[in-house]
Amino acid sequence: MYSRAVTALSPDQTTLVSGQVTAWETGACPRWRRVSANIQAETALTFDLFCQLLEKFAGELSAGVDAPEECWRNACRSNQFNGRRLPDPIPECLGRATPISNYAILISESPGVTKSDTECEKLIRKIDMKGPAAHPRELRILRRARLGRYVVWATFNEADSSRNPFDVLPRTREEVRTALGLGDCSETDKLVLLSYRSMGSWGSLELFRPTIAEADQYCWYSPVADSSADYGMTRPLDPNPSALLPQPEVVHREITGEALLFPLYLVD
Amino acid sequence: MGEPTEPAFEENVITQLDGEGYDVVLKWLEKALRGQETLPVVVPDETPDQPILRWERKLSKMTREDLREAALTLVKRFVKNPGEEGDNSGYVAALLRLAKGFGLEEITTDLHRLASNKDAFATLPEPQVKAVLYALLDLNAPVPPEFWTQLAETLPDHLGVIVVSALLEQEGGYRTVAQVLKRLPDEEAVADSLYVALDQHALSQAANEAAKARVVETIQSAAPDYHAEIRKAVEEWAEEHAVPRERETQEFATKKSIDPTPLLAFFDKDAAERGEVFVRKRMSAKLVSQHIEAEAA
Repeated sequence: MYSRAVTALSPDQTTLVSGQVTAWETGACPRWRRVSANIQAETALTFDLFCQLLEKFAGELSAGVDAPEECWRNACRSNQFNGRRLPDPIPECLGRATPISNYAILISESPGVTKSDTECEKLIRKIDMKGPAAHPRELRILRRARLGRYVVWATFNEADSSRNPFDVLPRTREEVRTALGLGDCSETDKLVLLSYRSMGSWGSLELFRPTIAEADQYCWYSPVADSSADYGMTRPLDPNPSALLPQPEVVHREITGEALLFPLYLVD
Repeated sequence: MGEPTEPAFEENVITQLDGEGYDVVLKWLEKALRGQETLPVVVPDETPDQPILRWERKLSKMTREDLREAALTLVKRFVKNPGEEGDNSGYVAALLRLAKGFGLEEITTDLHRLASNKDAFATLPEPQVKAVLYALLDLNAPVPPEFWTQLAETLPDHLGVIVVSALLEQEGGYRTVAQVLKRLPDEEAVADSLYVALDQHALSQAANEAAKARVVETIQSAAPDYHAEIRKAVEEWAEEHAVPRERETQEFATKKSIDPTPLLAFFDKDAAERGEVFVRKRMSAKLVSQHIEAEAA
């Protein structure tokens, strides 16, 4: 689709876009080489919406104000949630894994929460250790807080979407990270595994197939070749000694943790 | 870094800083904290400070020092012209978290000055106010309790919980907590945050039951003056962290080398003479303490 879309742009736009995508492809940075490969392998957007994204990118490049990477980010951010919407019935239970420090910051920055990220990290650890005995006030803080920032990437159990998606994965940081195809972790990072219902006060959550626009500069995204697929699939990291299978992948807008399921799990 | 990382990815924009001059590091850091660099994140929505803190340990000592100096410079620039950032709270919060992660205690002087400037501080968007207060709190800024209590009078009421956390961290700060608690709004969200602040403080005092009991008593004694939601949270917390009477008395008696039993008996007798029952609430330990001190004097 990329070749077709690039040639559908105006000649100036074609030159700008293909020139930059090729520059990344042959450049020194492995991350942008992969972003370039992902742009060229994109199938989740319709042809028209993909052209719209590339036109925006060309417009940013021709303005000449920002670096090309910034131009790409700006183009992506104005074209998000344009992937196919998951048809009903949507998965009942969703999950995301994130470093504990990131989740602590998300809670700390949420409106209505007045705890520092350090205090929030202590709170998460306590809730994890207490399990079902956690105090209702502690759980309410997590329910009020955001679950993600801007675009939330989530997985679900493909065989039984009412089950916690982490039930089918080994509970270690490296294996969760491998299966979900997450980015660079250190050996001391803890991941928190959050699972939540797709139904809440918002009604039924709008779930979308991820596209290159939500991936933005995140090079660990992997487009699915089948343009008719309802959702994405992760690309497990190499090496994959446990032969973990790719996991389904969707995106949705920011929500609070009101539909969070407890206990939550910390893995390291 | 973790096992599955592909070797080619061991190099990234952070490790590439090694060997660069200070000016390059400073310029890079500002761009990175503004989200304009492609940082090696674990998940797409990670904030810029996190990968920097994760990867900076791989850098040479000199570059690490340059990064710290650069963070300090950016904090000073923010404090000098706080209004310049406008709504760019993500940058301010990431910068202050990075400075905290680097352990740059010297920023507390600058942030203290900023927070003391009521006019300038009042114009900042709330996320930036929170970020400044969190940095002062987590870096355990050596400011007097009066700074926090005065600040509580100018802050929006719901941010008073941050002041409570800060006062509890200070030697004797718990004595002034009640006056802040009285100002907290009658909201469940504020009460929940307060409960966690009180709980985390009590857990940190687990080894010193006498000190914990003093804090519980002092805060609980003013509970009738708190709004209903706040009072409920305080009562739940006090219930959870009640020091068993025997242990509290024992610890106290050991410390003072005075047996409080006769005094407790005196209260019992005194109450009985008046046809009342002397209820030994947790408050009574304080009363006993006052009597013993009066006796000793």
